[in-house]
Amino acid sequence: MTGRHVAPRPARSGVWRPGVVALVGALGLVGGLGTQAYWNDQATVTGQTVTSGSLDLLVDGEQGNPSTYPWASLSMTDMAPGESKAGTVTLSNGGTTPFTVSATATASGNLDPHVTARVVLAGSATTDSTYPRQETCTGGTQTFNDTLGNSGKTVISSTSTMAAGATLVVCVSLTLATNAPNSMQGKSYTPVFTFTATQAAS
Amino acid sequence: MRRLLLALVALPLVLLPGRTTLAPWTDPAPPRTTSTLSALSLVAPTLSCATRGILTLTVADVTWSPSSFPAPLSYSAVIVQAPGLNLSVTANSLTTVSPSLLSTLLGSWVTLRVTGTLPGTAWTTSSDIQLYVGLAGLSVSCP
Repeated sequence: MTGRHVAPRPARSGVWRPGVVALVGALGLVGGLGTQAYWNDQATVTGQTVTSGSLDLLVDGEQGNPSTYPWASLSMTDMAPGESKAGTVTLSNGGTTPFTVSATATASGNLDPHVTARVVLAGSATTDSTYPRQETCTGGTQTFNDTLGNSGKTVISSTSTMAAGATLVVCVSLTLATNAPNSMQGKSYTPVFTFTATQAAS
Repeated sequence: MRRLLLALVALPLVLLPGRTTLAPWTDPAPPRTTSTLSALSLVAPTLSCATRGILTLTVADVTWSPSSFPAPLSYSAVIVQAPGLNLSVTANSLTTVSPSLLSTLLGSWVTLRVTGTLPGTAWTTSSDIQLYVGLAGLSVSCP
């Protein structure tokens, strides 16, 4: 007997179909994972304004710059040799930052070499309206006692720290020398004090 | 050891530049104050002259109103041409010039200077007046 014998193809097993379905299902599930999202929430908080501190030195409540503050109580007319004039100003911290204060002074006018300036922290000024008028600064701590000149001299090196709102009285007296020469009659003298506030080290 | 020294030297160089950012604030517009002293000017005396005498013998009375500002001034009188000759002053407001005082200046105009001094100071004020001394030495004339 010749001829080919063909082995009968085995019938497909029913086991494959559930496997394919499971595979597709798994792929489907895995693919579905990509669409999942975590829950989240948002809330808007209004930010607080950040404001820098301020450093502001006032003289008798005035800025004194750019317009120079007129120190009226330290002015005198018809001054004679040997007479003195004293006056005070109140420095105050008008800002929010603690600071210390230093001061320089210059003077102009022909009387300059014959006028002695005395600076006293926390001093009080006396008054005298009878010739010879001899007003002075009492109490406090003297920081300067000399002629001023026109080149600028340090009259206050540094005060103690002034907190916001703090005040400090500065008293200055100006004395025309008794031996001022006759040629000084009718002459004038203009001192300028510059107060500088420097932030205090914390 | 050298590495340690090098590190000690280098460390401040790294740290110190950072300190320049710690500059304290200063008031950008430092306040300034100003005041004025003005010295007085003594008032110069206003001089008046009057002669008095009998016949040709005359003297000159020079008067002024004394100043009392800021305090009573102290007055003196001199003949400018005879600086060593101080005339007496009466009541701080009068001086009398007689020809006998001016014998070396006969027949000429002389200058009488009255000076007020603020006591205790070097400040003075003065005024001048011209007087004529007669040739005969018997009279002094006002201008």
